[in-house]
Amino acid sequence: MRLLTRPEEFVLLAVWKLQDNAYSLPIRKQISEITGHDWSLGSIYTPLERLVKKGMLTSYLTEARPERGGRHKRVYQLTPQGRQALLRIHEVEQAMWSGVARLALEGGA
Amino acid sequence: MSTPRHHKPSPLAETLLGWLLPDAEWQTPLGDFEEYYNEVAATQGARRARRWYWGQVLRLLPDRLYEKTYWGMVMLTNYLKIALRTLRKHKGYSMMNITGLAVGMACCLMILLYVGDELSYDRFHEHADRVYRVNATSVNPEGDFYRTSIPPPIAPALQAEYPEVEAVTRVGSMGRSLLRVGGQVYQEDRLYLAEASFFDLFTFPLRRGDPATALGVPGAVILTETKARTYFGDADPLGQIINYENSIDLTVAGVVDDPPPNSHLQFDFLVTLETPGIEDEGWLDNWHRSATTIYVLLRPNATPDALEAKLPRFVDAYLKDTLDEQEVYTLSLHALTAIHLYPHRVPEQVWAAGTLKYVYIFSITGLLMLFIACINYVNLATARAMGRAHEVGMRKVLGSHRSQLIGQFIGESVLLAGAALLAAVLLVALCLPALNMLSGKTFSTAHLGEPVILLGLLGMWAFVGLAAGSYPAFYLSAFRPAVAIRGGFAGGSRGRAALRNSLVVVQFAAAILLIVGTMVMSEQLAFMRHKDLGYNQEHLLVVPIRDREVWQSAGALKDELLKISGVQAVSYSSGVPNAVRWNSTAHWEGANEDNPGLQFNHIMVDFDFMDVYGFDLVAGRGFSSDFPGDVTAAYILNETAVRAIGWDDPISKKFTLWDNEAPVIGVVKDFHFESLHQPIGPIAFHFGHQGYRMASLNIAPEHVAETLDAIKATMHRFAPNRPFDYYFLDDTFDRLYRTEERFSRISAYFTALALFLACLGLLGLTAFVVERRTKEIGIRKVFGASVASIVVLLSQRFVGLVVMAFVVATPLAYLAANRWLEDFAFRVDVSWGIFVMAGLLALAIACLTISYQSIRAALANPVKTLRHD
Repeated sequence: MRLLTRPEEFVLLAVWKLQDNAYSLPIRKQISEITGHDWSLGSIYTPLERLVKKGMLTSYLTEARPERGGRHKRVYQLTPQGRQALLRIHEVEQAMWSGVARLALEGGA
Repeated sequence: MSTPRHHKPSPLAETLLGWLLPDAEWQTPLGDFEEYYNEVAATQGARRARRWYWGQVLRLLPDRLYEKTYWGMVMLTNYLKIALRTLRKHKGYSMMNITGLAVGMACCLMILLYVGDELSYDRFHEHADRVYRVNATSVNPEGDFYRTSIPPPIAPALQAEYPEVEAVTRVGSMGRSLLRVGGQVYQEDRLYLAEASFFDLFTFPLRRGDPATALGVPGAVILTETKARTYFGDADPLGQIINYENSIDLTVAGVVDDPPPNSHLQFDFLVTLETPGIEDEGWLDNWHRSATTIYVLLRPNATPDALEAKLPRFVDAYLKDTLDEQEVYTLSLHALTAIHLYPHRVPEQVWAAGTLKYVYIFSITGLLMLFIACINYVNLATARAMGRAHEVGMRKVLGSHRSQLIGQFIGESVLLAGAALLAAVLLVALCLPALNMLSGKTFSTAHLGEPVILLGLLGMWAFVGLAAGSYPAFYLSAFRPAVAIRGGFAGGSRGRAALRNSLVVVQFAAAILLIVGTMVMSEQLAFMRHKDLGYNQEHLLVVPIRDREVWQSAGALKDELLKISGVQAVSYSSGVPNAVRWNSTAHWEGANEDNPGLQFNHIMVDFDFMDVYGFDLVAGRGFSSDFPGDVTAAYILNETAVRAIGWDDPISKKFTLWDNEAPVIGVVKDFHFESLHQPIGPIAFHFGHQGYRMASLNIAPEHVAETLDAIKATMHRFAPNRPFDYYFLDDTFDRLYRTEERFSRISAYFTALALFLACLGLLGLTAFVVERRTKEIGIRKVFGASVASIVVLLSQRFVGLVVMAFVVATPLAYLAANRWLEDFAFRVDVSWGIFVMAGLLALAIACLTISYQSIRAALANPVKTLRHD
């Protein structure tokens, strides 16, 4: 299985965490807060779209809301495939990080 | 996070963003943007939010624009390339198409110019929509009289009585007058008396002088720019003195721009109304004399109808004493902008003014021409469709939508229409001098740049491009690719052929209609020109005489004139045919309740008048010096007058005009003293001493120039201050029928153009038919068909079409011609000969057009034509 890009990975994680409120704005907000860097809306749409294409996310429309100018919002959900991918990423990352002591890193800096 | 206040992004940015975002799913992202916008607005302020939103839009713009238009541009270049290739490949067709459209458009454009000018009359005044002329209609038992001149004191009374009247102004004509500056003498016709309020109502900009005060002093005169230059050259005209009729000195108080040609008021001089010595003392307070034209300016919220409704009471209050017992006098308001188009029956104006009827006729003709040109285009394009069938098939196979094909073909026709439009504008620019001559207007190329015209051009382009392009577009794009590529042509179906044929019929019907119209008009004109008017009109010189001093030596002048070798007879009179001038109520012996009096034209004459004009007497005798009583009391009437009165034996019956009762001594045969538009009215001749205005001279047909010189010299001796003024009586007829003359000439041109266009269409259609039947003709020739039989074979269908057009056009033309002729009391009958001639003419021209193609096809060598493909 192919690995995901970093933005894709972040987005996928954010969708998982946000659960029922997983749509573009909160996703952007969460990622921005965690990374400490302001992500634009456009930089969220692209990974979202790719993930849908790769079959890791599905989406549904909620009812229209007045603060959105009477428009629907599109809420994203992980597919089993997406959950699988997250697990896999987690494994890979842990494997990659194993043996690297946090103190050693800090000392080197 | 959400604040109670909801912020909306700018609608423009939102729409733009919606358009830029990909695909159908754009609603949701737009919602995201709006929500985020709100958030930013709540936390960082609306300005920041707005900047952010626009930033998003602008960042998307370049890429999305490129993506959206890229393929469109690619296809457009392809369409253009193909369109130009097709044009180049079929040079003949293209030329025919563009020429046809260009001619149609040029006609339409010229008519647009004309109609636009007619409709623009008097609209340049600032208050044009609030100015009205006060007209009077007088109805009494003798008939209706319509007047634009009304008593001067009406003006101040109107203003005093009705608060809705903001301003009034009076204008009085001064007639032909003599002006002198230093030693130089000028004769001027366009002099008017006007008052200071003139410039409150009318917008004629003053170059020099103050409009508010210039006409405020008696003896002031304003002259036009042109006249100022003629009179004073480069010198400052202000304060200069112009002498009027050797009696009054007028001081120049202003210089006004020349009135534009589309003004119904055409003047060279405006003289202060109150200047003494020009009119009788106290004329401005005279309720009995209809001496001035009165214009009112209504307040912005007043309606003319409301004021008009109050005017009957005004007439009762002010004018009652001046009216006859049975006379009903009505004042009405005539909108300034309508004066030119609805001149009513005002003798001086009606024939000169282009009337609304002609505006209508021209507009319809223009549209008809454009329509014909469009039909041609449709016809040619459909006929040529076969050549493009392969292309259509190929495009469809390669995935073209039908809508794309329709767009392509309409685009082609818009392109062609554009080329034709340029050609048309060029054509019109070249034809402007001819147009000016025909229409009597002064158009320049600058007129072509006016917004109305430009708008018209654009409209015409769009109309022709779309109207003419849509049929071929839908037709061509409907081809089924398989059929089209295999070469089986779907266009020969019965329905399509019927459509093409009916288009040809319509065109030829229009052409025949115009031919008949032109012929009827020229017949009527010839009829009017050659009609026996009941008197001698040739070599008849009329010399108006205006000076009182000359009349004191009238006898001597007559003797002197008769001494000139070319002068055969001389007569003095108050009026002459076409300028009778006098009209009064007559009474007679035996008049009763039912027939109390009649409005009579009358002319005061001398002994020689009957001889000079050669009237035929049908009863009694003419004026004669053998009967001394004739000089004071005698009348001669015409036959119509006798009939109207109802006398069996008119001789010696008592007749009264101007309170002068006298016996009738003779009756003249009816003669036409007005234009042939009018029926002959009653007229009376009587004798008089004062009030003669004209001398009529019979002159010999030889050496006219020398005779004229001699007359001029004689006149100069008697009236040294007055330039010699004269006209030949037969010249006045040209003036009477000028509108018709002009119209008939214009319609002749249109007929030629319509025929040209119809032939163009027919030529294209024949070419198409011949092309399609090339093989058939070849086979027929191989089997022994003669050239003649093939020409007949190819022509007969078209001849049938022209015959059908004739059948369609005849009743329409008959109705139209009779409608036009209704304006003439004396007119020709619409004869069947005209229709036959028109039909034959159309047929002959059609045959000629067809034969070019059909004979060529019939003569072609079958070996070559059968090898085709």
